[in-house]
Amino acid sequence: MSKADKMSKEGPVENSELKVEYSQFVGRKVLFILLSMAGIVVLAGVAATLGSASITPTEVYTAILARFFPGTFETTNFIDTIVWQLRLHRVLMAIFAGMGLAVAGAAMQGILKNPLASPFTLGIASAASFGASLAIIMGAGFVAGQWLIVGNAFIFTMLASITVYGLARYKGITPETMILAGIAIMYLFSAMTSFLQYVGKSEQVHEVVFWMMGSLGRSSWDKVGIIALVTVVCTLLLMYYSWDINALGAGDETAKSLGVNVEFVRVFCMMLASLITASVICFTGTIGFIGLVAPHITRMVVGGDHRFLLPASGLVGALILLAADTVARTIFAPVILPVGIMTAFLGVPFFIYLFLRRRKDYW
Amino acid sequence: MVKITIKDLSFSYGSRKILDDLNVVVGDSEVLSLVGPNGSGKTTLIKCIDRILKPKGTILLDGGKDLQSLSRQEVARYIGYVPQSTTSALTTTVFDTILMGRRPHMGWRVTDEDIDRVVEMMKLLHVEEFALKDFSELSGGQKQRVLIARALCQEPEVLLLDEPTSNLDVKHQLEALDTVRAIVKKTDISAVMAIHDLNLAARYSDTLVMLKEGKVHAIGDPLSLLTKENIRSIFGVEAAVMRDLDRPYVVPLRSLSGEAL
Amino acid sequence: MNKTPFVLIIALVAFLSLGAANGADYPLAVTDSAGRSVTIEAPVEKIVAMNSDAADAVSILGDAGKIAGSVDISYKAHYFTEFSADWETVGTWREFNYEKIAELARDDGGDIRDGTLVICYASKAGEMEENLAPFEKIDILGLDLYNAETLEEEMAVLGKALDREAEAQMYNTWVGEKKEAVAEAVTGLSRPKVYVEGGSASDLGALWTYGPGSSVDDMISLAGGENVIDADEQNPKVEWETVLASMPEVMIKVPAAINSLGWSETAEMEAFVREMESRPGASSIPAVEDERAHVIFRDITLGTGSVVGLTYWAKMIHPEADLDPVGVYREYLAMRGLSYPEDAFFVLPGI
Repeated sequence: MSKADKMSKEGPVENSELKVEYSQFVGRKVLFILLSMAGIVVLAGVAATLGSASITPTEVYTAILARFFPGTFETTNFIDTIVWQLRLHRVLMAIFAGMGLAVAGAAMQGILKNPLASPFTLGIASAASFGASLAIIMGAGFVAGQWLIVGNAFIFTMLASITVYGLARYKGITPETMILAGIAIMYLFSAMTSFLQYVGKSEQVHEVVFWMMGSLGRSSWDKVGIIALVTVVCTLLLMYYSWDINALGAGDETAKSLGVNVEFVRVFCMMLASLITASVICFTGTIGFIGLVAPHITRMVVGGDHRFLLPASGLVGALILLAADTVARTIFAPVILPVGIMTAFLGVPFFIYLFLRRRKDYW
Repeated sequence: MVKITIKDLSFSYGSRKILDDLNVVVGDSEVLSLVGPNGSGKTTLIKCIDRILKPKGTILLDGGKDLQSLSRQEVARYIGYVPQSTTSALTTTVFDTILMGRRPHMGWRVTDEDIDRVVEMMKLLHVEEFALKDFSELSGGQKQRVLIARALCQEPEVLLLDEPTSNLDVKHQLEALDTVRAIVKKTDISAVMAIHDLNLAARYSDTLVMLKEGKVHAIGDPLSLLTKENIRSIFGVEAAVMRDLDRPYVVPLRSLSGEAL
Repeated sequence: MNKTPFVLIIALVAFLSLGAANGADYPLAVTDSAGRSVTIEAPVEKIVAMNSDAADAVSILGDAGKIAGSVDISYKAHYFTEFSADWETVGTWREFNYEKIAELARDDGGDIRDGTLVICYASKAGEMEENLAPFEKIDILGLDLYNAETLEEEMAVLGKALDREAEAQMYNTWVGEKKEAVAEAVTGLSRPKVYVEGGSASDLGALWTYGPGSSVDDMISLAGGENVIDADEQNPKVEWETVLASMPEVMIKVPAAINSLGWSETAEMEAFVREMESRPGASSIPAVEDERAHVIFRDITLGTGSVVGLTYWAKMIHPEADLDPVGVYREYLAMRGLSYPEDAFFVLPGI
């Protein structure tokens, strides 16, 4: 039936060494993903026991189990509050926020074919910062009350990506047009944020600066729920398109010839990446480093196949952010450091190590 | 059976006309080469056939299906494209590069059959030994073979090749074209290639299409088409044409630029 | 005892109306908080205030009328209603307009003569001097009038420079008395654990607090409390868990400044208190159980009025102490030529 059958010299393919070799090659990637998951579970277990209140790890785990098996395990109200209302959702927030930022970064690097791309390349971070600044300094925004900063950051972020899309569409959706439009938007929002900072009072500016450094301290179970939902759904959708993203890496023409609807995939994936990023950073502030570096670290280990790169990047991002947040809140306890600074302190040395150790171009 | 029918095909970049009212038919199991000087529209025609570009006019595939009415996926199952430039922005192994050719056929999961097909094509094009190497580490000739293997994994009826020999040394040029011709002759796939080198075109093609300024200047078998006169009027070059083993050999002598053609 | 300041103010007014010609001898020399020796050649006629603390201090010494320009302190305009309309703006808190300052120093003939004094924070004095040096005759005084620890000393320096030594002395005496009153009132009382938080952000992972060495820490201690924040920084950011674990008996929130003298209604204040009380685990904190989580008006805890804040804090920390914060506040506002807004709110829950 198929052409290939007619072509092969040796008839049906025997279970060759090549197949075994390839399945081992894939197996290594799967192993990396499983190890990362295990790493997250272990680290989360450790992170939950660290904090200012003196509670032993046993007490922490008893408190966790007490919610699931109320009769069997006994805990106090105080420990239950610390563990369930303060620590656990923050740990999960770190995991899902890190995952979301890294997946969005990996997707953007793939669809823009640019190692320096991240959702922030498209002006997303500066749009979010502007939205937050507008809320903090002018008290103005689209939604009222406690969601003012969050709502503003989210809406301006989506507004920025839609503008980038509109501008790029005008000239044809290519990586170049998208990056150029993104850079223009980025400078525009940066300038507007600077202007707001200029007219703002010192304590407001201080607040804006702190917001821009990123923090997981505003986490709550509701917010974790939102971030987890958006991140997981968008990640699955992006993974569904991983073959198409792979094909884009071989060039737009090749991708088209392989049956990929290039413009649709690029725009759709960009919107998904923007959506994840917007949902995360509107709650956490701009944690910029993870989206750029987690995919790079992962690519050095699992290679450029997005079927594995996307989920693995997400897990690496989760690991980095969870580790950074845990260190940031314990290293100078009780003083906490902004997590955005800590991610860079932790991630950069590791990144440089991999970068120097590997000889061939990983990109 | 006819593989591709091109009717009244035109294409412009803005106001600049690149292809002008072309009519070409690609038959079964044939190697059809597009020849002509730079800017005559060879590569553009290849891209129009694969719907990478959107031309005016009609292209019919597979016994009369209009190219425009097919989905990209359907086109990809019918036409395999081997691009000229082989720069890949992403790291990917040779195996994964070839596996990508299965995209028009597979879902998200890679089946055993897909893997089998890839292994088979790797053997056919002798690239098994690089299987897990990075594509970017290969030489030009190796890359070309990998890209042909990828296009063949699409199980296409037609193979489009854009300057398949441009980055290769003589030995690899011959190897690449030998492979293409062997595949065409062994299966009923047809190959359409844009090619610069008239002698290679003559040696490996069943049909030549001579393009000049976006128009078809002549269509026919290499022997009848490669004449002094045709070469002079298409390339503006004075050439000697010799024959050996039923093949024409073109030896360019001098450029006629500035003189009346 | 509460009558004393009124007596002093009456004395001051009498003193002024006599037009006491105690005329200082020019040139006079003072040393500012940047350690610079400043020589003032002639009586100061124009003052440029480079921050609101300087404007506050000048107004307490009765020279608000001489202020010719200030940085943009429009959000504090309610303190200077009679005067600030005429003030020229010479920049913002972060960027100064030197050209404008020089322009203000010119007399009608267009020359810069002695008699212009620029007051800025000590840390800015060097920068200011460098930029104004070409105009020669403009004097620059670096004073940090927000810092309670050095406030009295600096008021004395400012008083000398403005030839308002008697007024400065009077103010300092008043501050000393009020401090003494607080110290007396809290002596021998237990020292409850106090948690103070600033800012309006409700980031439970990064609460803005005050560590040892900060003016807030000093104030807690003077007001008879014990700061629960024990960090190596003056302005550490801590997690809510740290606060929970420390079990404060009194909580004080000092939200960001508002553009009025006190709150005109309690809704916003209640929201702050409710937010603190609704934090996870807050119900187990003694401060919340006893309804001693307070929100207080920011302006009175800082700068020249910090002794007012101190009295309020002492009363919050020790409700049983015999102190009259409102009375002290009235006296302070009177010194600045303002009246206490009877229908405004400054602290919640009330004390």
